Amino acid sequence: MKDWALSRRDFIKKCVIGGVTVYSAPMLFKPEEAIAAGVKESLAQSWFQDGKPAFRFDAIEKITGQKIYGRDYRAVDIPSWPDTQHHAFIVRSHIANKVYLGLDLDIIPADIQPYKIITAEDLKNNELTLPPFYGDNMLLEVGKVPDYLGHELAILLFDKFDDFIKAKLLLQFHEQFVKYGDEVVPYTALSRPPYAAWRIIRQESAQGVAAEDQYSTFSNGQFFPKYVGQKLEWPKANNDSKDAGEKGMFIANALRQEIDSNKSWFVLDKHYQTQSIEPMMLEPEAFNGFYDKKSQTLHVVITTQSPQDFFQQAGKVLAQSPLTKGITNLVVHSPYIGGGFGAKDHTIFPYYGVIASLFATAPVRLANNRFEQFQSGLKRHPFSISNKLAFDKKTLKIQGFVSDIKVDGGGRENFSPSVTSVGASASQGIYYMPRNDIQAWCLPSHLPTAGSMRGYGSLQTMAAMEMMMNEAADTLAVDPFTLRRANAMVDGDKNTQGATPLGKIRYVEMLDLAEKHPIWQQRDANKAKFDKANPDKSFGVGFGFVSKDYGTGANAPSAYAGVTPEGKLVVKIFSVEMGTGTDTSQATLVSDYVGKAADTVEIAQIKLFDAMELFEDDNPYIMSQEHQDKMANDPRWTPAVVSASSASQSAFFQSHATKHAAKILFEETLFPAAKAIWLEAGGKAEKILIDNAQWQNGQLTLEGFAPIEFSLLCKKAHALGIVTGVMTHAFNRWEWADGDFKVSNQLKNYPLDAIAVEYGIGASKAIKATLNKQGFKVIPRQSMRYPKVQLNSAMVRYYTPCLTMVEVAVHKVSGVVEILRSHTWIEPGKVHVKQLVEGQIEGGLTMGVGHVLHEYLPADETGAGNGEWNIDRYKVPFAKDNGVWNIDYTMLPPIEGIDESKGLAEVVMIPIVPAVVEAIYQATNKRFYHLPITPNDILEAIK
Amino acid sequence: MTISTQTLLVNGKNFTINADPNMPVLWALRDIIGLSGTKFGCGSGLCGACTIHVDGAPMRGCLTSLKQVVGKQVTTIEGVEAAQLRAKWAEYNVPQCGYCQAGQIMSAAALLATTPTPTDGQIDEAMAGNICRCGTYPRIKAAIKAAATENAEA
Repeated sequence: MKDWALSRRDFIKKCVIGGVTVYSAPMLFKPEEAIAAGVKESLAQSWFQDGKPAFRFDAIEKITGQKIYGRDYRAVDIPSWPDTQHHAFIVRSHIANKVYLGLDLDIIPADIQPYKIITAEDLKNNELTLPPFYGDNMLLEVGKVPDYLGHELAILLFDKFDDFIKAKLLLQFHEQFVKYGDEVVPYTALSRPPYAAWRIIRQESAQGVAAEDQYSTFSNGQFFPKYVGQKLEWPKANNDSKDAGEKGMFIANALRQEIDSNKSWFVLDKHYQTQSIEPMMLEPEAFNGFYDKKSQTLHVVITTQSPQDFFQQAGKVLAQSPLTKGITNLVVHSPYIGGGFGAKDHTIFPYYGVIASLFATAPVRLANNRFEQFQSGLKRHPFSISNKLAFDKKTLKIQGFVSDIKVDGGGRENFSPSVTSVGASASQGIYYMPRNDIQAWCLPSHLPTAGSMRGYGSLQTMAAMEMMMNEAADTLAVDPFTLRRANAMVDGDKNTQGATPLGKIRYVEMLDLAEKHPIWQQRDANKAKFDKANPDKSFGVGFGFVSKDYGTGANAPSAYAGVTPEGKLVVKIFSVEMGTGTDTSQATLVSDYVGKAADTVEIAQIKLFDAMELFEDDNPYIMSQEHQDKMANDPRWTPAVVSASSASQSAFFQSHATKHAAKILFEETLFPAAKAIWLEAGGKAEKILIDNAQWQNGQLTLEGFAPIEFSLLCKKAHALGIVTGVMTHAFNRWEWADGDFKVSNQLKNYPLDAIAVEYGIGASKAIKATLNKQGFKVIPRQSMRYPKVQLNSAMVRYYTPCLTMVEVAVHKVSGVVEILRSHTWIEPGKVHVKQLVEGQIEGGLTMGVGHVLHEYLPADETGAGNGEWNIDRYKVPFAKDNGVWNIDYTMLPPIEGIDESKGLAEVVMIPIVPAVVEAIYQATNKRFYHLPITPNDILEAIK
Repeated sequence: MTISTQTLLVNGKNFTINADPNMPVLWALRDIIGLSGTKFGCGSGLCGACTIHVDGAPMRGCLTSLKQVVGKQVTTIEGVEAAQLRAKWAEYNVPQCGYCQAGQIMSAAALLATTPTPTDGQIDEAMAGNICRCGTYPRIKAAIKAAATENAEA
């Protein structure tokens, strides 16, 4: 079965962590089989036609079954592995209120017993632990109480597939397999301190928004509470104090008192509850690993959105154990994944695979079935939100906003602190708040761990804000568009943190567009007509408008663009592709600079960029300005070497690194090659100016000179031995860092903090002597400007607005809500590939429909942690659930010269949520404050 | 529940395998024969990711046992004749993560094989059991409709 060759030389050399050298291995591809699998020849010829992608970069593999996902890897597929495939099964606890006493394996026949049972004792004896990010108790010790539902107890290893399957079927749901002792109440989680707490306070200056705020998180800085048990103890309020916390608490208390007493204000005081959600990416998590003792190498195949994290953390785990002291190499296959939605970002799963590999006697596969994925996979956080929103009764302007947000983080901390922070800072939605006090805290619980699922906290809080605006308009008897126009942010307004959003704010323009739409204009007539024709149903229209942040405040994308002597354009990027089309968009956007799309795109190139020799030494979110200023002088230092891939990161951040790699490739490779050719043809140097050169039909043109084919330029560049590949790294803390670089002769400023180049095959010995081990020359930066660390307190400055309007029909007998049609308005900035944006809009809408109407996991022992959940009980939206024939959208055109591409994969799922809630209200006259709204809820309400 | 030698006819080829006759076809395809295009999604016949054709009819590979397909023609995404459908799938940019798409195409191909020019309602019905978590439903339907339109014009 080893039908293609791969040797150790094909692995890409990596960093060394504690004596373990980390390599990344190339992914499996079967493009030849894809072409042969019954696609039309014309289809297979080229994905890029007439200057734009005809379809996705990897579409042919995906429509022929030849796309290889992480779950597809078997030992037999991987060169240098034995063909034998062993299998692992993680035993998890389905309860969290009893003492764990061990396993009873006598319930399965002797001939299908596992050959190894890995327990907490094995881990302890061999000093094997989880990386600190994931916490402790990787496997629960006998005699202890599970920290959470689904706590991992043991790993069973089997050497035969049939035995493994039979044993797993018998054991997974067997009541007596896991032995428990006394019941223990309360849950262990209730004794643990909060994961995080945040406070966002702002009071506008008496002189208005343009003046310096009287107080803001951005200006005064962040402060944090003490934890007393699970309660928060904030600083004591003191208006005269110079301490940010004491002063802030005075401002906060004053607002809370006024909201409760000011009679000229209308205050909407509401509580909202959101649910735990299963990301339900269709590919459950999987792992394959092989500990090759002969070559002292651990090979692993992982399904993750954050392979860079695994590289670092797994290396450290291996480096500290006596059991693994023989391991000198870690080879990581990080293949394409079948959906992520955040659930494969910093997931704990692959570390269990690593442990299984260490104890297995052959390659071992660990793969969650759907029940296991429900039980153990990362979830979307449930939010409990108490909001008070105060309006001036005459002007309708918001006067103040107070919010108390309690978040359930589940069993392990994971990304709960940042999800809570993002949720808090997103609370304001599209509205300007002159005064606000938002406190948000996240508690551990015995539920499965929640992580960075799509929406990242903002779905929960922004949907609540829009539900408030709809209710406020109704209560104040004003048009909901009028109320929104009175409060929508405009250019110059500050966010709740006191920072100014970047770019042009077009909220009012979007409101104007939506208000004119027939769904809205004809809603009364349509309702009368529909209700008359459908006496068993009731019609309603609603809309929601949100503006989702994107960016992390420490984005650090890397990219490579280069040419081969044969004339191929190669792009390599840091990001992982999860279905959003990152590979297609990155391949396409380079054509703006180099006249054609990339011939190949290599994704998830995590360690390739070590060639830039960058290092980091501190947390970019909390480092001091002094430290940053000092370290910026070191040309190899950056605040962050890498950042995680997520759906909203590629369009803006990854594109930035890619397009500058392409831009420099044009300046240093393609144009100089053309100039050489034109000079050889007798051209005058003063007439060959880079600004006048243009790409036309894949040729570089200049008035008065013969056009030159791209492939010829590549050949020439290699022959000349000039730059033929460019690698870039950038850093963004709500602004791009920029530096001065001299790649060839001219000092130029780029919004980058590192550039490395490679040279053509004709490069001189002198040039070759300057190259590092990876074959690149790092261009020394001659000055560097990083965004001030104060911008960390901005918490967010990039936003993508999105408005969705929806028509629903509520069935009066069944309570079922039917989506009739929807229209979405989005401001995506510059669009690289229109079809990809359309796909995100449609997909987001569907996931939002799931959140508002269907998807629910109980926040107790009956929830997913009990291991009994699959999609027979958990309703994922099907095509029929989102009005699939009647989805429409409007993309606002970008403002030329201002707009870059915006992150949008998450925002599109949010406004449909409050839109549907409002439409149900319009249909039933009943308001709901919890999600999802089920048919039973509706029937109860309209009884 | 004993392992026995069986012959499986997949995509026109005979495969001789040693397996429990109760083993789901999906496992045999992926773990024994090595055809990984058919995907595991839920293991309970609820998501459609493992859709195969048995004598041309769409079946869930995770719920169909080896003994149920003895002497029958099993077709997977790797072998299904659906060039026109695939072309529309590419043209309409249907796949996002792509993991469910084999199952979607198999359901759509089965529909068009029996109903070359389906109505919207027939498309809805035929595709009702296939989940796409990326939410590519509008494009799936548009691609099927486009392929059906070409059928009608042919």
